[in-house]
Amino acid sequence: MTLYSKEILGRAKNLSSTKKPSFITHCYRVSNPICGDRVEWQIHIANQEIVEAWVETKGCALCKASPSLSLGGLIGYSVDQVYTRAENFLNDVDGILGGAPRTGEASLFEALPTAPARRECVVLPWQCLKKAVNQEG
Amino acid sequence: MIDQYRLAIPALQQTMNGKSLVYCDWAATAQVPQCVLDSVNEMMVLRGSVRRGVHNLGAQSTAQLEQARSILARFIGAQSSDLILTTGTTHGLNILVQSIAETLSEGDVVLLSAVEHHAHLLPWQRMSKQYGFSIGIVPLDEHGRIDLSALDRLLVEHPVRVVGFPMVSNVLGTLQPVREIVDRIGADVRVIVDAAQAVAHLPIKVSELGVDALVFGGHKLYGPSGTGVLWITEDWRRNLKPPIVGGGAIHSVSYAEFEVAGGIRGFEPGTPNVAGFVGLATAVEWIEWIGWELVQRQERLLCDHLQTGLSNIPQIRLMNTHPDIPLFTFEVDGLHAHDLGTLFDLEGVVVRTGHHCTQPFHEAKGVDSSTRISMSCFNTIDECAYVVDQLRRIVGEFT
Repeated sequence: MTLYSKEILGRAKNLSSTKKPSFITHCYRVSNPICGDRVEWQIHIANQEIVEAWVETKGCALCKASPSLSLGGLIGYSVDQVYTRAENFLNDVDGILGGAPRTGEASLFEALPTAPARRECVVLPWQCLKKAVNQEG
Repeated sequence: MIDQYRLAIPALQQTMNGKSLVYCDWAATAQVPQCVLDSVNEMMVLRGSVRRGVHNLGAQSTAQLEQARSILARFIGAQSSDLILTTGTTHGLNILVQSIAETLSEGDVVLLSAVEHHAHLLPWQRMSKQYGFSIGIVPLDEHGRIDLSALDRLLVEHPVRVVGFPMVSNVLGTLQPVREIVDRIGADVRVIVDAAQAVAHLPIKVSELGVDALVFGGHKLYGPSGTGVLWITEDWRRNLKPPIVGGGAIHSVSYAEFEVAGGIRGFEPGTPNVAGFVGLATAVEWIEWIGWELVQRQERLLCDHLQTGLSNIPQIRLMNTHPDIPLFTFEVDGLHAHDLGTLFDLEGVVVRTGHHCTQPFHEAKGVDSSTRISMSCFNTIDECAYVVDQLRRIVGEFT
């Protein structure tokens, strides 16, 4: 079990291949002042449903790999579903750190307890996603 | 020879992630020798409230605190009566800046270095908004030292009242020519030195430096955290008002008003961290017992080994090339500093990653995040080789 698994490194490398939305209704940017990681979500929401979504992260491999998990499952989902999904992910990460069984999308980071200080890198993109979809369009 | 002193530091006998601990984050927090742990423990067993009450226990604790103050004052060549005890560098600088700011006004200029730590930059920024004075930034030369010709120009062009800079940079490890800088500055301009990164690496005598105020924290000097020193000349302090007030630091109090106690006492309200300062004084005596000659000889060796080793890894971009202490900051092409920090950690190597509380300097250099290896005289040549080997392996594997 390693934090820098092939899957995490692969996801981190390929995140930049996603396409920016042609129309943006929701945009949110966060940064971690301690390490300089920056995340920005640009989302097109229509009728409370995700039409397009794009994320950019400037940061470490964990911060880049983490939002890649969400990208495939956003389009066509409702804002409420995405919000809940982000909350579940964040809870699962804390569960992993607390020794809970590794289930859900966050299980990619099952080795996080070997470097608990990196929690912020993993959760930052999802915290940003929650805020992005929770705004008024 | 350094091995016998290493053995006195329990942390250096520990393992991390199943590997021998190779501690390379001394610039953030130093590990503590057993004698400091013992002195703190002894002090905590039986303690009394200092400077208050009539019981002997309180008197004993007061005496221990004042003895610690004397040792710390001697350590930097100062008088005890000019030494304010703080909780660390940040606290000391905040007290100082808030006090000075009240004496400044619109039109006045404070000069700070381009590599200022947030602990010094931020208090000035906040106070400048309140009191209307301006902050000027003095650039560095190619060696990471204050550009003296730029300083001269700024001193001529602006009504400068205060100049502040780190004696040793926490990013570049460069020692500033303090006396040379002071000598260029008129007597009517006050000089503040942040000695947080210098105090564990070289002997400091405030009278020789010629500065007006000097600040450092205890946790970088092999002492407990939550301890620090603010030294300020008596003639400057006399004109400053303590920004924090409270018990134990007053001359008189009525329901309507109060009068702050004179001298340094007015700057030390509340109950001080007596055990911490007793521990810090022990740390100071310990380092003096080891001797600066050995400290500096070992650190020079480490510096040379690290410099050679790091220079031979082509993917590394050093932010500093000729530090005066064994401290190197760098970026790795294609590998974020946090990832490197964790990969190092898994091998037992503890380094610092991020912008090291110098965000403006990092942004000016176009660096988002860097890795810093900072060693002390208690590191070994073998550790240098291990760190460089691990770095070469990680860089080869992950970039």
